[in-house]
Amino acid sequence: MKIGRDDAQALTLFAITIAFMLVMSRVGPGFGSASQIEAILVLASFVMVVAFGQHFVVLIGGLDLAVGSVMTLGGILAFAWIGDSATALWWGVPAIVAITGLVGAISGIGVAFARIPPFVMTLAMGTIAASAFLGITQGVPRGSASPFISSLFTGSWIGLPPVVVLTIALTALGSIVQRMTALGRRVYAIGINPNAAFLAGLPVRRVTILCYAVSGATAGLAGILMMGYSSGATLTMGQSYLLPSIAAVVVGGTSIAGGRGSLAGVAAGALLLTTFTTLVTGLAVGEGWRIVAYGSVILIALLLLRSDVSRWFKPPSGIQTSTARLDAGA
Amino acid sequence: MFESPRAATIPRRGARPSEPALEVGGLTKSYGATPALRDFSLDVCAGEVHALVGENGAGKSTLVKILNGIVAPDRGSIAIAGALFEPRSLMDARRAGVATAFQELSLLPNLTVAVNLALPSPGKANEAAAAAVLAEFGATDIRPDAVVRDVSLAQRQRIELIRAMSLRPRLLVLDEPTAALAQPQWLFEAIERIAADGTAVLFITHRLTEVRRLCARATVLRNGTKIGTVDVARTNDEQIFGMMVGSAPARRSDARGSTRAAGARPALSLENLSGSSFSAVTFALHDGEILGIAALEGQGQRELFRVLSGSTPPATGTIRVRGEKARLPSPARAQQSGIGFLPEERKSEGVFPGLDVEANVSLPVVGRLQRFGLIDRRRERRCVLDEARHVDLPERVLTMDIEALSGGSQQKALVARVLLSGARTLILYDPTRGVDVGTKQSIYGIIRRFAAGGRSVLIYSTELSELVELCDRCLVMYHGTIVADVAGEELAENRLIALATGRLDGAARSVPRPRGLPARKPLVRAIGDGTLRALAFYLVLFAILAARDPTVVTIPGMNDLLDNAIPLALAAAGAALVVLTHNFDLSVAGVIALSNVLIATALPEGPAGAVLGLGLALAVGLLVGAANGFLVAYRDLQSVAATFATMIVCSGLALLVLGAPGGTVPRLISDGLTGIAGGFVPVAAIVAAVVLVLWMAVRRTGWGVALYAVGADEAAASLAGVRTRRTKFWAFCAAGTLYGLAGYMLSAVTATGDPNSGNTYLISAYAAVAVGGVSFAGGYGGLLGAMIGAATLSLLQKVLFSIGVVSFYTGIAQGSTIILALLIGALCERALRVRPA
Repeated sequence: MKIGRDDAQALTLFAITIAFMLVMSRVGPGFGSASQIEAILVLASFVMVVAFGQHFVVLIGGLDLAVGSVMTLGGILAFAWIGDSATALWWGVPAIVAITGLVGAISGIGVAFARIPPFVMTLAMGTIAASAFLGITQGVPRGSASPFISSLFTGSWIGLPPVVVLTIALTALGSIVQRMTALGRRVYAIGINPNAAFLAGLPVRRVTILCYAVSGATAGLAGILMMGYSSGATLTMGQSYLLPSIAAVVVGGTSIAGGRGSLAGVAAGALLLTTFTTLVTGLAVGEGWRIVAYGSVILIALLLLRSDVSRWFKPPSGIQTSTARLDAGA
Repeated sequence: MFESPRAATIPRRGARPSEPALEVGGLTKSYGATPALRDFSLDVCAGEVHALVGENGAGKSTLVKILNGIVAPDRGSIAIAGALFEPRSLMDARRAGVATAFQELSLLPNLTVAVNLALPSPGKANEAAAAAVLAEFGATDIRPDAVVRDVSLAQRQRIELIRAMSLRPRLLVLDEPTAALAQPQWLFEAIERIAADGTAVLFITHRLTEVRRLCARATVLRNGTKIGTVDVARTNDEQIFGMMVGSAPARRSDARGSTRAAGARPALSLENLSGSSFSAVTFALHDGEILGIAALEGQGQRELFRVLSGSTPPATGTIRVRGEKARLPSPARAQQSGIGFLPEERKSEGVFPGLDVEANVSLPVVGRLQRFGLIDRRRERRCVLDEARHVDLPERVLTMDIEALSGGSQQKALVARVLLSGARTLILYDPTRGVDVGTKQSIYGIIRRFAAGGRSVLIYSTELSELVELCDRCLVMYHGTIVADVAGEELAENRLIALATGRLDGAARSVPRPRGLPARKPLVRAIGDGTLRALAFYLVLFAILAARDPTVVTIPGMNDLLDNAIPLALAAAGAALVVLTHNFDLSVAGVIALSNVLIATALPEGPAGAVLGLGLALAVGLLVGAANGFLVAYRDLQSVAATFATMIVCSGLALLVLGAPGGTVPRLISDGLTGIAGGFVPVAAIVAAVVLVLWMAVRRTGWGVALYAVGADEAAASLAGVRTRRTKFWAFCAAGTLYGLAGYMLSAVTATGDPNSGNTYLISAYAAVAVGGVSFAGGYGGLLGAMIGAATLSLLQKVLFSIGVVSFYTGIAQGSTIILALLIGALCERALRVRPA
């Protein structure tokens, strides 16, 4: 595996982020302060948790456009079920993660068995999920915030907000799964060449469903966290996380075609994007510019990655996209 | 004695003193570190049929690609009729008078024979002209109006040949033209006729009988190097074989089959196994046996091997593994039954570039190499190293990216993978395709040792000599059935070729055709047609609605329905255009929002405003579409990702133009277009105009045909000379323009601006495409279907509302509809799919 290359990419991104923060600290008072960096880390955690699952899906060559709605679903359920009860916390969090994971798994089943294009399937599941919570709440989420989950943002573990520590732990765990387990190998292999993976006897469908389930589960988890952070739930709380989740994955050096990229890169991408967003927000330009910037960043990352990919995987000349069949018989 | 190129070049005997039509000198081409062609030279005269012979992987395909402008040579020169020839594209080659019948066939399965014959300028497609061409070449059994996926493989090969010949080229290149032909006599006569007209023919083959029948001279290629050009009449087969393989053809050693345990249960047995291209195949494979399958291209062997590998289910029949009835629903299960499969296409079906060789080899068993949930790297290395030794792969390559290896080494790694998976029976489909002679020998060694160890091998090869050398026994397949079982003295190449072409006793038996082409009943065809399906769905909904609310049957009622449906119908038509090319366009949401807010903020009242608004909406759409098209067609970005990004950019811009819902749309647009003025229904006129324009563009232009061609099979389309990039680019442009128009009509209907107005259109547009029966796999379906699908969805919303479904739940209905529509479409496809013999 080209672990070295991916790691170098992640390190470069982290370096860019730090340089960015240093530049920011020169821009004006408050920028680059310890409290602001802490705030950036917390906000980046939300992006990272959603991007975690998105990364598994993108690695196998898919895309999950349902994460926004599923995140909202998780937040609304957490608001309704957990509240200030400590016992509800113990069954509530696993139950919500399981439910959102199931929503993801259904997307995975559609993609793996019915061969529905991923973006169509997840868009449909997202619409269904959104409609479901709209109907359940009749438009007004009810419940109460969980003090324990809120304390993840106010407390301090080893000098950092607990949620940041938890996110780092999740990322580390994910990296281990991706790089050091059979499951991880299979995920990369399916992303690189799904056809060959199937013929080599890999459980392609099972892994596909699992990846979408992970994406649903982490989106739900992000919703629970978000509920704690904002001490409430709204019908649109997850909506604005779809875009950053994909942007972080792509900016983090993961090929949208699958099979390449690391979670460390995604973490770096999430941090860079959040820093960037904070800067933009600080400069008080409109929401529109922020979105335009996001779109452009994704596009630039795609073009940069593409040139890299073409260097590594393409024959030097000829009609590049359409001669795969010919090349095989060269 | 023919080893030196110079010595082997014999002056032409009795050839007409004619112009050289093709002169090639010093041609060299390498793929990375692997040389495909080295300092190759060749000359072919006008009117000559010149044979180019060589084994698989000798460099023949590379020469074909260079002659067609698909690949540029590193060095060397080519002249056609004395003029320097440096083609940059297939069309360059066509213009210079080079026509090629490709081995992989450049026909589009979703288009008719007539259109395929007319490619790449299908605007001129005309069934009468096609029938005349077919008649001229004596192919009256092929109907010009038949869709290519419904005709047999042999017929397809003839169409491919006829298309190349009908171009009346200076140089005709025939790449393995007899592969699927049962009666090559037809071709030989056609070639002789066309050569008599002065066309130079380069006849690429590895069958010497055909060379003897047609050619005076033959050039032999081995491992990318020209071994020599010989006078066919003065050279015997042994000598030519020797030049092709570098030594005299290997003799079979007779000390084989001794390890076979007689009477034991067979390792693998098939009873009356049938698929869509083979039928009633029965045989047994015993331990210690190497069993060959000999067949020409396309006799059903490919599917048979797929079935045995677990990747395709059989239609009927029984497979037994060691006497136990076995179901092989997936390659994984086949592996568990001890069957190891080596697929034919190393690149697309075998290797995982980006992973090192070790990971490539250990992949199927890596789950068993874990300790405490993590892969035990040392154990993995031990296992892989063990198999690497078996296949002569040096240890140092194990940490290299598999992509960096030569074709031969990659193949060895794949063999190591199959061995490591613990197979007791190997299913090998053309295992030496495209590998060098050295690797071939070591693969033979592996196969022999494997069988000698008491395990069994089933092997298909395009090289009959390989089967003769390796196998204990050989089954011959012809037209999907086993026609002969030869062993011992009978197992010789000429005997196999005779049987495989159905010329000996095998053909005397009447060969049962495999499940052929059932004539489709009109009703079945109608259900399979997505447009009609959508229309039926629409009418049912309309009837329900009309029963509850009779006002919809009036003119104003229908006008309302049209008003509601038209923005989505336009968006869906655009999305369908892109889907036809096997791409996706998510920018639909962004473009609609952007044009909507522009119309709501930037326009004066009056006719000028209405016209300006239309221009603005179309321009925005075209611009975004062009950006998408550029990124996807010319920068090779994945369409989902690229258009997702442009959608985001457009949504952001829409927010910048208008921060919150509001603004006003000129009254002429909002009231004038949606109402009814003196019996005239403007929306109906707009719908009619758009449908007419789209119908003309898609059904009556070369671009329209190219859309379907690119969507069905981009590689074949590009071999047929279709400009695939340009086609895709304009598809995105046209789609963007339609989204712009959709935004315009949306503004007319809502009379206000909303930066989020596009959001719901992404899912609805693709739902409409799905309901309208346009295949997401590209190449099948029509824009009208997508538009009817859109009307259906907007009607569904109304019906749901009228029967009292709370609006909160419409999302569930919408999401479920899209999934259901896709499932129904997929099921219809599966039920109606006809796989030609």
